[in-house]
Amino acid sequence: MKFNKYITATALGVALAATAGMSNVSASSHREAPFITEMPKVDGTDFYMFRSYETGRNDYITLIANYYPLQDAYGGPNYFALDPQALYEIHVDNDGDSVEDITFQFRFQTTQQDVKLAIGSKQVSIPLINTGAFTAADTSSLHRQEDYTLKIIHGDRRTGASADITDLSGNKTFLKPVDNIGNKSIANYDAYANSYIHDIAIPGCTAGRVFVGQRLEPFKVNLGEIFDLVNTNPLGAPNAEVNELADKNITSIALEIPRSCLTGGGNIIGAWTTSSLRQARVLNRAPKFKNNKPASVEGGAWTQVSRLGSPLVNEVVIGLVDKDRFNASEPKNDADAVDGFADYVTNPTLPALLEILFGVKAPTLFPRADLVQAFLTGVPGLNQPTGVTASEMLRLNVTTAELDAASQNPLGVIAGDTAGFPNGRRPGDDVVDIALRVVMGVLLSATDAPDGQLAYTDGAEVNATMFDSTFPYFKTPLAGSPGN
Amino acid sequence: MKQLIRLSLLVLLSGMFAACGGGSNGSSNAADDTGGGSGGGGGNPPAPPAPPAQSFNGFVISEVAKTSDNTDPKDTNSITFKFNNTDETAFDSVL
Repeated sequence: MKFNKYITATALGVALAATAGMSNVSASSHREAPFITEMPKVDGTDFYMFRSYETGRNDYITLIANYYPLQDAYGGPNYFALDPQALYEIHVDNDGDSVEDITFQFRFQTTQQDVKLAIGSKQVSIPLINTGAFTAADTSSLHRQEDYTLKIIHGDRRTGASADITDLSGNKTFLKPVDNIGNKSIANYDAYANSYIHDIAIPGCTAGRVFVGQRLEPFKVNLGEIFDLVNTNPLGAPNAEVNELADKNITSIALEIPRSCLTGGGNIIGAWTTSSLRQARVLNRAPKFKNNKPASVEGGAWTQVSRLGSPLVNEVVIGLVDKDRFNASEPKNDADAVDGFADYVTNPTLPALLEILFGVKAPTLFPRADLVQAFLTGVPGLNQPTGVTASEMLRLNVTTAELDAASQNPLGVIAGDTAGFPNGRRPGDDVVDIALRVVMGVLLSATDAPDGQLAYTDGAEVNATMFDSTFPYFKTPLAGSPGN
Repeated sequence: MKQLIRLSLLVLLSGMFAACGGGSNGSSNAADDTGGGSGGGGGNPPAPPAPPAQSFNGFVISEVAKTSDNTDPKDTNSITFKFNNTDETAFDSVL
């Protein structure tokens, strides 16, 4: 196996990120692979896709890709801008062949003013991004602003037919709200951020909506204990433990697209998110803002560094040695005998680890056809496309009726709520508990999975009522100030 | 017209140097941040012509090959890069 190289020529400051043969993936994947820990701005952490359950919007599909994990709200003065040298994408396969048919492509840029104060006889640049309070309507005291463009590509993500998505006035650039600095800078962050939900005109389709901005981290997990050899009681109460991501923010890339724009030959779509960087980077030994000479120069082909479809795949399914490779891979190759990842699903290690750690009996049936359906092909009769090519992505039957927040079951399909994970993923789906139960054999017979019906849990509760019921669903991010 | 031809030749030669691994040192040196001051000697000589755009991919390949711990980072501010962002095999030789 080849490994990605990250070469820094000490004297020169050349960093070359090479990717041949590299790949790496994850889902609910905060820092899940070695290489992606070096570049948090492009670290995809969670991906959601569900039929919109906001009142009056059930003809739409909401797709949300979260990036930039473990944001502490007080992380100024730079906060958590997305990478202007990266390509953030959401791919949709609508014919089951595991190749993207539609791609939504986001590129960001940051505009910064050099604001100076008269200090004595000199004009001196200030170290902050704002010099006073601001609102969406009046940003005169804000001196750094992110914006982005959004394209839709039909066909191959690099060579397909590309078209600009615009706002309803034809503008190709969308503003992104500044992160939640605190209430002295932004008095009403909720209202401020909501001003950046944009109606969009999609070529060949009717209107949708887009929002990109900071949100309260929606993924809830007893993270520290899970990675400390599951240092918790996996058979305890589902709310007995602490959500250790509760004090973190995240950046969401959210789309609401008409159902009819996403479907192809059938009613089942698959989707995943990726981020890519230019293959090479030269570090600048003497950056000069004035002359537009940034701290680095990037070039070369887009090179994928993060991939995320279903949650927890790269975190707890893919082996450590293959995590980087998974992040650079494409679904179409998942089942390849040499370069694929099928063994991790058909012969998973997580149940065996739980057996070693807790004495519960792991399933004995191999290959695990139940996991293949849950993670690679979709469930027959629910979200498995006709003639599907096995691959890891999040699959959704867009005709499954949505449920309002109060009616959703956080355990989704295994609890009889077919509008939930793994038929898509909603904010309130408890994917950790679902994944634990599925890998331990909840879908198998007692013969094949003696302890398969136990109520495995990480103890961190999540349900739909913890979120907004309107786009973009995730809560207002924690403020950096006041801290207490 | 002559100038245009000369410029085209320079670009072509620069690209050829960059494409051949061994010749890339010359290309990199030509774009180094050492010009401007050394040959002046008083007066205001006319500004030297801007160097031709340099292949970013070739530059990276040539610099990655330098592994000495005793050299300084190269100043890239004076280099105008020419990008080829579609060649997915551009860096295979150093992988």
